Amino acid sequence: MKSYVLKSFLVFIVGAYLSGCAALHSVSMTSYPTDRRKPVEAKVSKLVFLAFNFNNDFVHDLTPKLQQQCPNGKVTGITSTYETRFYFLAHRMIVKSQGFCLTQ
Amino acid sequence: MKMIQSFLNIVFKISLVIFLSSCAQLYHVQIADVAKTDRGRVIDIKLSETAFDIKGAAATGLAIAKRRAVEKGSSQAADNIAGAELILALSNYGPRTGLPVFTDKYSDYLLDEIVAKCPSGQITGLTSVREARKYPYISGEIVSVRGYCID
Repeated sequence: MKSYVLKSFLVFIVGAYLSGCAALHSVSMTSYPTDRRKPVEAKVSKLVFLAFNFNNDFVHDLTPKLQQQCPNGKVTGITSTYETRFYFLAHRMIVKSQGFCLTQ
Repeated sequence: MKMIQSFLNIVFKISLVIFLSSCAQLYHVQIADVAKTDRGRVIDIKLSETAFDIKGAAATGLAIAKRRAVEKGSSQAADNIAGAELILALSNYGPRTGLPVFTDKYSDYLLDEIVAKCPSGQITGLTSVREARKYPYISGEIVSVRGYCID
């Protein structure tokens, strides 16, 4: 009985650590289009051990990623979110953008 | 003995590099519309202001002073220092992004910088970032922008 409780507790702790906790830092939007038939989405992230993050250059990969999904159009109505997932001794910074590709 | 000294020397150097190199902190990211061009010329703009961690520095100073006061057996001095610490904490109360700076006008010249780097004014894919580079008791509060200028 005791070992069962300990095992369940261990599984719970491991599960809690692996699932992580999340924090939302910022959300921003640009003008929303009326034509929303082609949604596009891009995400960039960086895993940081403890606090050893020496630059934030990973965010600049986001625009080319959006551009690739809409090569002959304009991506508009972009919702950008910046969030963090926390793990044991590490955290992941995630920047996501969702928008709509307008082709004329 | 020589091996231990060599090992400690390496550990010291690594610690010094980590201590002196800045840690980057990201606060906010915003992506603007991306137009249907072949993205044009990359423009990078970075505006920053130095911030001092007065609260952190004062807390360290107060901790040292408090320890000395306790060592000397002067409880009155320790109480005064604790009072000063409370006033300092209440004076710095409130939400903020990054460390407080003496002026927040450093980001007001962003548009001027953009126009100077892209005279045509046709810019797409603007990525605006609010970040900081942190050092012990000091930080660089930064607003950076990357976009694609169509000449």
